[in-house]
Amino acid sequence: MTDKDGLPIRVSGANRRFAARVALDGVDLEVRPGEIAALIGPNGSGKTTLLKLVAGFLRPDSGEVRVFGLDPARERPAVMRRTRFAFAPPALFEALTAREHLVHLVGIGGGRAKASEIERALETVGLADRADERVRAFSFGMRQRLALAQALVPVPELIVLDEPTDGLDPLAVLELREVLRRLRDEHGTAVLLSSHLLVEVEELVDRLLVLHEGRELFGGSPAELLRETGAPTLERALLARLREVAGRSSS
Amino acid sequence: MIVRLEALRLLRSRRPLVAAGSLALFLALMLVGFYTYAQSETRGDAEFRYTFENSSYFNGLTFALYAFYFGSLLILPIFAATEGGAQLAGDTASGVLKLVLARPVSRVRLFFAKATLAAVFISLLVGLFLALALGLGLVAVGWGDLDLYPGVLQMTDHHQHLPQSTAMVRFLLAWPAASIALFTPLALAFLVSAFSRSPVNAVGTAVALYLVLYVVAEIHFFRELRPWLFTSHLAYWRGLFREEVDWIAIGRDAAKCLGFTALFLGLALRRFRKREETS
Repeated sequence: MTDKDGLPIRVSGANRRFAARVALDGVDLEVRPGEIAALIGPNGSGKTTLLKLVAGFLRPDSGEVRVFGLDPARERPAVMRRTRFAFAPPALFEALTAREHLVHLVGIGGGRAKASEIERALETVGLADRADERVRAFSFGMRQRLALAQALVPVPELIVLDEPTDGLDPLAVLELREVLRRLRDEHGTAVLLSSHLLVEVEELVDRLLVLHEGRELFGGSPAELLRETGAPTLERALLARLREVAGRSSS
Repeated sequence: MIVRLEALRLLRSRRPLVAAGSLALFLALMLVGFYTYAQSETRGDAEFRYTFENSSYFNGLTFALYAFYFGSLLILPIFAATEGGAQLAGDTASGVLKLVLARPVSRVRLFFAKATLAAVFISLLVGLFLALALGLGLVAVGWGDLDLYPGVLQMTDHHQHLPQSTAMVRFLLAWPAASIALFTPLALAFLVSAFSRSPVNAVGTAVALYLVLYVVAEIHFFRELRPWLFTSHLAYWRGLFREEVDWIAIGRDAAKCLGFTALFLGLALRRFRKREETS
């Protein structure tokens, strides 16, 4: 069943608790085709919980989560045909080589990747010359790159990345931004990524969702955030929002 | 493809090598045990003529049967529990379960791929163990006809004599029969694994459950409970080493083992399908 908009991601009033702790409290999010959206917030703000709701690994206590109009918790295989996820920290098949990793992952669910596609993905993340080495020997940064590579084959309609810049050197962060831009511009891929550092994604994103202790601090475009707060930079705008919340809490 | 991936991961892991090495070590220790027992009984004359039950009939086939008896009830179930526990809980702990579930594959298909592969692996271990036991028995002791007498291992309640060729066919049949028996602790481990997020806890719990139920099934005091315990039926393959095999009893016990396996796997699948991946 597909809803009328069929957006890559539509989350409406999502609530989720873990025992007494509120992980998400009435969060809304929309990601449109060809759009790059970022979830920003400190550790424990609910970013990963929201990504797991989108992946169908968790169910909301209330509210609704739809990916391409589908309920990911009930229709996960259909969602995953059009979506690629890379969760943090990057989990990989330790005993396989980077190339085997990609070949076998693509094959799950009946897909088949051309050798050229695998090669291109490995080149994109700078692992072409390490393609036949076992993953076990990879550094954290290399594992992060391979996790990104697996999300690129075959090129999806939606890509969801959890803390993709963790463990990457500054050059690799720049390359990652370039890859995501190319995916958006050349393939119309929608991207949702999470980060606890606004500075790493601010140049890239079309839409921001800032989370704080499971609540939505801001949702909209970077330009809207600047306009609403009157701050000269996104970082200052965000800081202003956080101070507002802190002020409300203490009063 | 998911089966190929799981098979490659299994082959590249150390589990097959560790299992094969452990089984070979166990057999070597069994042989040393029989040798030292014979030596003490013959006051240093060290002939392989003595078993627990009788001093007149020991040979390589007897050694293989006794080793297989102990191995299939005490050693192989631990490997079955380890394999079952390592599957769902191991992948959950390492995070690769999320990696796989982020691909278009249903949980049911993934579950059955893992269960099938684990069952094949356990069957191959049983076959390897039997082959090693028979090979070691032939080399170290020599084959002959198989004679069994009543004794503490409850192999039979009266003397059985099987010519060597008949005994070899029965060993061949014991391979699938014992494999079917071992699917039950494997399935139990899958069930525990579906509830646990730690492979160590899953394996430990599955092994502990198996040992407790095995001991309970062996204690006379609990005889009323025996029909309800899967451990009561695991050694049913012993019935193959009779002059006249009771095929109905063998089939009934095999069906009970498969029934327990289906029950445990069904419960494990139900849990696996409904559970959330919180970690």
